Amino acid sequence: MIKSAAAGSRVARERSLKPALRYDPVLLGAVLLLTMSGVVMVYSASAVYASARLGDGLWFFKRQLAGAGLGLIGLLAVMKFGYQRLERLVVPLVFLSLALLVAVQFPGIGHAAGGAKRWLRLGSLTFQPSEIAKIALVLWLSRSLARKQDRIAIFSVGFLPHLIMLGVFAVLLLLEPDFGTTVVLAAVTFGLLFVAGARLTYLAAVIGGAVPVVGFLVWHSRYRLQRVMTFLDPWKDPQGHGYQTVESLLGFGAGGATGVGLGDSHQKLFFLPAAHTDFILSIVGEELGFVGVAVVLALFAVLVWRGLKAAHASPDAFGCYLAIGLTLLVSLEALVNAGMALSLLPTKGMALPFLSYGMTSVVTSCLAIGIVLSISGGSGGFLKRATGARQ
Amino acid sequence: MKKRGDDAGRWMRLRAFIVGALLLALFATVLGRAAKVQLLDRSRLSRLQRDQTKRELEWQPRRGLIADRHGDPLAITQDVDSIFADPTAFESAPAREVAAELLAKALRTDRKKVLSKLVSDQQKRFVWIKRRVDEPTALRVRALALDGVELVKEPKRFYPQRELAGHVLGFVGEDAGQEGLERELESYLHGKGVSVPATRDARGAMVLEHGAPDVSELTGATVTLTLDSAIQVVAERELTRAVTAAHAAAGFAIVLDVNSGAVLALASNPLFDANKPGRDPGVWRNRAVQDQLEPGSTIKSFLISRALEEDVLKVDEQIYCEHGAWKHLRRTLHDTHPVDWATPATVLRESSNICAAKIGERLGKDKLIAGLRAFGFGEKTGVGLPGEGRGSLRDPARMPEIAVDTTAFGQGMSATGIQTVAAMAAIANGGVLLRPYLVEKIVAPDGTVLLSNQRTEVRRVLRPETARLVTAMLEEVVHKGGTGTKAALSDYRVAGKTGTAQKVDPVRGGYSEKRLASFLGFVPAEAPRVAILVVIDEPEGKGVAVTGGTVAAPAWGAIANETLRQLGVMPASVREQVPLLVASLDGARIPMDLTHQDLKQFSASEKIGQGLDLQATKLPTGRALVPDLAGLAARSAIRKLAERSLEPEFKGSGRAVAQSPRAGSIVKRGARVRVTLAPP
Repeated sequence: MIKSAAAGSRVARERSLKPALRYDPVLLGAVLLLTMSGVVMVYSASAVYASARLGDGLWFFKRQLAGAGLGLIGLLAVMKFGYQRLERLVVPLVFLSLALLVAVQFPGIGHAAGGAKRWLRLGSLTFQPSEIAKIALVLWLSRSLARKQDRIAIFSVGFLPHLIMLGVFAVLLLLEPDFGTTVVLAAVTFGLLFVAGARLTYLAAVIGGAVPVVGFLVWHSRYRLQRVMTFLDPWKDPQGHGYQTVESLLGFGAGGATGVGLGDSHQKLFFLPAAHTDFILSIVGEELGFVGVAVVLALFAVLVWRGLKAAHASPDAFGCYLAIGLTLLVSLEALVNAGMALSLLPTKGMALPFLSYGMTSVVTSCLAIGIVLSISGGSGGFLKRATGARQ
Repeated sequence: MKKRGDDAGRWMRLRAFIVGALLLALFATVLGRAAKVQLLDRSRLSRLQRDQTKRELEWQPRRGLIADRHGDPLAITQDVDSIFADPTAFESAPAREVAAELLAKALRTDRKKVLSKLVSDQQKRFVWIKRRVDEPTALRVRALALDGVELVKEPKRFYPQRELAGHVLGFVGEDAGQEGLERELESYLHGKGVSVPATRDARGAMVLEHGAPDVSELTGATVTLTLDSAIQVVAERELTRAVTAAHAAAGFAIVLDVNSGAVLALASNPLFDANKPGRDPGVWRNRAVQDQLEPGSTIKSFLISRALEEDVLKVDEQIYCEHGAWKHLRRTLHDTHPVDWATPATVLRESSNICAAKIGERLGKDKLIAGLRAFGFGEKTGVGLPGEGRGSLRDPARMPEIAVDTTAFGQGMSATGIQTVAAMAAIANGGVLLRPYLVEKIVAPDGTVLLSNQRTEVRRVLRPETARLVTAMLEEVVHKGGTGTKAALSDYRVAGKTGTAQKVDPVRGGYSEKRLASFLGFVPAEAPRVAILVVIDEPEGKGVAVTGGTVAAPAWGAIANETLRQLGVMPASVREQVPLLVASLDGARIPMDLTHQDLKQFSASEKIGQGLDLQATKLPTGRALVPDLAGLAARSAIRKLAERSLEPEFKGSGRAVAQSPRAGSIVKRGARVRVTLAPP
C-alpha cells in the first residue's frame, strides 16, 4: 500500500518536472489579467452611458463578461487542440473569412454603423468578420512561409504570393472601409516576411511604393485627411474634429500619476465618445492614472516577450511564424490603439485587444493568444536548429 | 548544409529579436508619451478637464415668511417654474423657428420675441425665456417637450391675502425688497444663497456630490407682525368705504394698542396688491407713515393736555371764544361753531380755533413746542417702516407770534399719522408715550430669536390725572352736540377728536379748498385698549360734508367696534350688568377714567370686590365652578361665566350646545371655557 503510494507520487513528480509546464504560465497570466481588467474597465466606462442610452447600466458589462468567458473557453480549447492541427484548417478558414468579408457588403446581411460596413448580424448578435480575417491571414502566411523556407528569397515564390493574398484582404477591408485593420495586417505581413528572410530590398521597395498609395488613400478620403490634420493639431478645433483626441488627453491628464480612482472618471460622462470601446485606455488613464496605463502597457510588453519566447520554443517553422505573426498582430493593435488615444497617431477605429468592448474582438484576441500558448509548450527546435530541422 | 542552416537560423533569430525589440521600443514610446501627458502636462490638462466638468450650482435664497400676530401668512415664498433654453440645441434654423413658434403660443407672447432670444445668444448655452411663470403656462411649455427648452423651479414671493396690508408689506423687486417691510427687513428676510459644487456631464446634467442644501439653510427669518389680519381687514374695508363714499383722493387708518404700542392695523387707500406692484410709486406709498400733513384740530387734544399739565389752564375754567371771530395780530381767526364762553371740554367739543389759539398763547412758544415734542411730534416714531416722515414743528426761537396761534389748532406744522395716533395713545394709557411697533418678533429658521419688540416707553408726557381729565373731555366730543357724534358706539364709550384741516395749495401757496378730514380717538374710554386714527384725504364737497366728524368719524366707529369685538372686549352694557367681570378683567389695575360719573363706578367696583371675596369662601381660593351653559344664548352664557370669573370663548352662533370643560368641573379662576354654539 505504502510502497505503491510512494511510487505513484514519484511518478506524479516526474511527470510534473520533466516536460516542465506544457504552456507558458506567464503568458496565460498576462492574458487573464488583461481580459479581467477589460471586463472591469468596460463596466466602469460604459455604465453611465448604457443606463442613459439603453436603460441598463450593465448592458455592455454583461456582453463583455460573456465575451471574456467565451474567449477564455476558446483559448483553452485552442490550447488543447494544438496549433499543428490548425494547419489543415487554414485554407477553409481563409475562404470562409473572405466570404464573410464579401458578405458584409450586402445590405441584407451586413450591418453598417458610423458609415462603415464592418458587421454581420446574426440574430441579436453582431459579429465583425475582419477579426476572423486577421487570424486567417496570419495562419495562411505562417503556413505558406513555413512551406517555402528555402525559396523565401525568390521573389515570385517567397514574396509575391503573400503580397497578393494581403492585397485581396486589403481590398475587401478597404471596401468596408477599415483602414486601420488594413495597415495593421500589412505591418504583420511585412514583419513576418522580414523574419522569414525575405529580401530587404523587396521589402524596402514595396514599402517605398506603398507610401504614395497610402498617401492617395488618405488624400482621397475626406475623413481620413481630416483625421490626419486633426492629429497634427487637435487643439486647433477642440470642439469639432479635435474633440475626441482632446477629451482623451484631458482624461489622461486628469488621472495624473495615480488616477482619480476606479469608477470616478468624469470623461465617461458623455464627454469622451467611445469611452468603452476605442478610448478605453483614456478611462484607464483617468481612473487608475499613469500607473494603470503603465501596467496595461507592461502586460502587452509581456505578451510580446512571451510570444517571441513561444516562437523560440516552437519545434517547427509553422509554429514559429504563427507565434510571431499573432504576437505582432495583437501588439500592433494595442500600439495603434494606445498611440491614437495618446494622440501619437491619427484617430482610428481600432480596438485595444482584451480591454475594449467588443465580443468578437475579445474572443479572437483570446483565440490568438490561445494559439500562441499551444506553441509555447514546445521544447524548441526550429529557431535553434534552424532550417535543417524541417521534417 | 548544416552550416548554412545554422547561419540562416542565426539570421532568423536576429530578425525575430529585431522585431521584438522594435515592438518593445514602440511600447516604451507609448509609455513615454503617457508619462508626458499624465505627469508633465497634468496640471494644464486637469485644469481644462475641471473647467468642463466642475460647476458651482447656485441655490437661490428663499425669503422668510411674514405672518400676522396669529401666524396667518401675509407674505410667503413658493417655488414656481422658470423657463430657459439652450440656443445651441437646435440643429437648424427651421427647427429653431418651429420651437419659437410653439413656445410663443404656450407663453401667449410674440413669436419674434422668443425667436430673438433663441438666436441672439448663439454662443451661450443658456438663456432665460421667461422667469417665474404661472402653473398653466408651465404645464403648456412642459407639454411641448421641446429639446433644448427646460423648466427649473425658482422661488417667488406671494401675498396670499392680496391687498391686505399691502403698503405695510411692500414688495420684492428682482432680488431685494423694494418697499415696505420687505425692504426694511431685507437683511432678515433675504435668506442665504448657497453654492454647491456639482459635476456636470457633457449633456448638461448636474450631479451634486454632497446633495442639495437644506431648505432651512437658504430660508430667511420668519417675521411675525403685530398686525391682526381680522382688524386689518376691517380697517381696509371701512377706509375704502369712506374714501369711496366721500369721493376722496386717498386715506389711511391706524389701529394701535395703547398699552403696548403694537400696531394692530395700518391701512392705506388706494389699496395696493403687492402681487402686482406696477410702476407707480404713488400707489406703493404708505401714507400713514410717510405723508407729513397738517393735523388740524386733532392737535387740540394735545394742546389742552399740555396746558393742563403745565397748569396754565384749569379744568373748570371759562375762556372767551370771541363768538366765532377774533381779530388778533392783524388777522382774523374764525370758528366753524361760534362759541362765547367755554370750558376746555367745550373747546374740544366745539373745536374752537380761537380758544385753542388763546390757550396756545398762554403756554407760550417754548412750552407749546416742547409740549408737542414731548408727545412725539417732530421726531420719527421708529415704527419700523422705510421712509417714515419726521413731521415739522416751528423753532421757538424764530417763531412769529401768529405761528403760536396756528400751531395751536394744527396749522403751520406737520405730522405723520403714526405720530398722531401714538400721541393719542399716550393720553389713553395714562400719559406715557410708547414707541409704536409693527414687528413683534423675527425668528431665524433654527429657532433663534433675532429680534423681539415689546412695550417701549419713550417718555411720560402727562401725569395720569391729566390724562384722565383729558379723556373725560374727549368723551364729550362724541356726546350729543359734539363734533364727533358719528364716532359714538352703542356698546362702548368713545373718546376722540375730529380734525378738518385745510390743505396747503402747493402751487399758489396758502390754503386751498381741499380738506383733510380726520378722526382720532380711543376706546373703551374707561379702560382704553386701542387708539385709532382715520384720515380721509380730499373728500369731495363743501362745509360740513367734508369735516372729520362727517367723513372720518363713521368709519372710525365701525373700525373701533369691530376691533373691540375681535379683541374680545366686553361691551359696556354687559359689564354694567355683570359688574363682577369688570373687577376680574381690570384686576389689579386701577381704572384710569376718574371723571365725575366714573367715580361712582369706581366705588361700585370696590364693593363688588368685597362680594367676590364672599363668594370665594365657598371654593378653594382662586378656583371657580364651571356652570351649565346648555341652551343659553351667547350673552347669557357670558354673564353666567362672568359670575364665576371665567373667560368665554365662542365658536359658531346661536345657542350653546356644547362646552369644555364640562359643567360642574372646578377650574382655576380666569380659565377659558369653550362654548360651541349652534342655531336653535
